[in-house]
Amino acid sequence: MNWRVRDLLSEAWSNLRAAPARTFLLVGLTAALMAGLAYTEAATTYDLVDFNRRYVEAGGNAVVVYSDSGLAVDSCATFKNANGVLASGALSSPTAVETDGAPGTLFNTAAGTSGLWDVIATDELVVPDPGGNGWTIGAAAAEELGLAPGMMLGIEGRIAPVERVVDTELRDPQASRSIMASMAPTGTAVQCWIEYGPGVSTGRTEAAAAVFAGSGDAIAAPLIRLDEFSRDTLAELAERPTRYGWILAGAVIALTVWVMAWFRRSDIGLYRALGTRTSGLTIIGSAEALIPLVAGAVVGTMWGVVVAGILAGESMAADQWSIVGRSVASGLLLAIVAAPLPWAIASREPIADQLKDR
Amino acid sequence: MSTPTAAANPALELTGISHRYGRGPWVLRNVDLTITAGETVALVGPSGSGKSTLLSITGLLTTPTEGSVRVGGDPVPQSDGGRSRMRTERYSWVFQTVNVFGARTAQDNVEVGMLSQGVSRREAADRARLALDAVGLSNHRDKPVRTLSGGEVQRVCIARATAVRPLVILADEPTGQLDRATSDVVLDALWGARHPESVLLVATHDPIVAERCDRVVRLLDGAASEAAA
Ligand SMILES: Nc1ncnc2c1ncn2[C@@H]1O[C@H](COP(=O)(O)OP(=O)(O)OP(=O)(O)O)[C@@H](O)[C@H]1O
Ligand SMILES: [Mg+2]
Repeated sequence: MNWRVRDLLSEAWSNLRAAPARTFLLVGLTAALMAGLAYTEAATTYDLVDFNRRYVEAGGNAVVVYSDSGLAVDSCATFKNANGVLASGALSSPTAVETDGAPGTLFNTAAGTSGLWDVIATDELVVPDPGGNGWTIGAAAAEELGLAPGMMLGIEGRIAPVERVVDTELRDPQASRSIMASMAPTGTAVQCWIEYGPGVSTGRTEAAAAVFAGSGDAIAAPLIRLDEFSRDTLAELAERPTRYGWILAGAVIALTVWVMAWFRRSDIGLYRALGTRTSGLTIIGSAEALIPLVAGAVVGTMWGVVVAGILAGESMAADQWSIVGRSVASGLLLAIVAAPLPWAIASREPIADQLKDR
Repeated sequence: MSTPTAAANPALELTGISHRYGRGPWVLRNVDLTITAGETVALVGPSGSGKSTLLSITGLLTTPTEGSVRVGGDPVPQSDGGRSRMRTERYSWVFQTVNVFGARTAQDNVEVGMLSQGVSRREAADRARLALDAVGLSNHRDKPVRTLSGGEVQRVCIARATAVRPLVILADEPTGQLDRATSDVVLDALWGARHPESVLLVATHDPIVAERCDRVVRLLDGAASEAAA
């Protein structure tokens, strides 16, 4: 007869409780290393996520089709149903006008289909669904004219309320000084704006150009020049220097556990002298490592993530959680698997030698 | 060299034991020793005469260069697992330097000896209490062993060794680091707590220990001879 597994586990637990200093040292060290790992992973990915967001906001996923001779507006409006397209809308060619209230100052007017604002504006729309007969005003024009949503504006005798003021500075600076009306999805326009979803990365311009192949002079181009935003975030993620951090963290933790086991050779020898076999020793060694390591990893991860979050000023995205979680879990697994090694190979040394080290 | 104690059921039979460490000199030469159940035997001799070596061979920690050991009538198994099982089931040790889990309580230390033999936790707890009572440590049960005195710790070791009710108790200088008065308390504990059927084999320099034993075996120049107790 030999140890019952349940008793081996409670033996490990008793040892952890009997040596609180050693236990907390291990929890603390694990927490510190895992906090460092979680922090660096989180900080790196915050940078990438932040870049990605600015890139998308600036129009990294947007394509514009231009044609002087005219694009079919309904083709542009129905583009939204195409695979991977979030929004699309057509914009007519601008003409210069004076407002009734400020004669002498010229503004652009243009018309757009519903969906256009979702592509060219970067702020939340005041009225989610356009299509009324009111004006949509670029931010610069609104400021110059002192206009706000709900106020009335007359242009060449047509008086209508200001439905919304939109910030187009980032994507279409020209529209910022425009007064725009809604346009039914018929007829022709000179531009079609298309916002793709994040997953679609290749063949966007080709797909857009193909829809308007009928208009001979249609040219499709990405909204922003690629050299302005030359970072490849996926490649950067794959190549990040911290990608091997889990090995370092796991190895340091495992080494510490080994050193601690070395100082307990006499305990190991005593267990052996009392009849504990290799399997039993391995279970005690594993359980004695498992509990503080898991506790330390949980505490450390939270710690690192919270600090990174405070410094970044926002909470982590799901993708970041999975990157941080995978790194910490890998390091933890490495340490947990390696931890009981000194216990597992203890029987190679004579019991008497281990007992002597007391 | 062989002893005259002829019993129907010898608990321990060492036959023709010779031992050397590696290519070193012979430490033991053709030693025979037979001990019946319940006997107490002192192993005496000058330092370096091989007392610890003979204990280690008897306790299956060391395989002798030559000769054979039978325990409870059974030969020692060849396999490591079998030897280790026999060692666990039939022996317990009291060492010269106290060997305990210092951070754990006296009760825990005694229990571990039984738990490692598969005794249920409840039974181990009950028997540990009795064993600690028997060595006079009822009041120190729940103290971490490192807070106890040397004599008290040695009594914890005795409680641990006796609680498992082994066939053979091996003790190597159990009073080697204790003063006279403490030695007496510890020896009283050892003799008092020992199951009457357990063999007790003690290596010692202490004539008072030898006096308490039924038999005294003297080692000199590798050979064993029986001295009158
Ligand atoms: N592991 C070992 N390797 C090599 N030689 C050893 C080993 N253990 C003991 N010896 C040698 O074997 C001889 C007998 O040693 P042993 O420890 O058995 O003597 P002892 O009678 O117990 O002595 P003491 O009374 O000092 O404890 C000594 O010469 C010792 O140096
Ligand atoms: Mg010795």
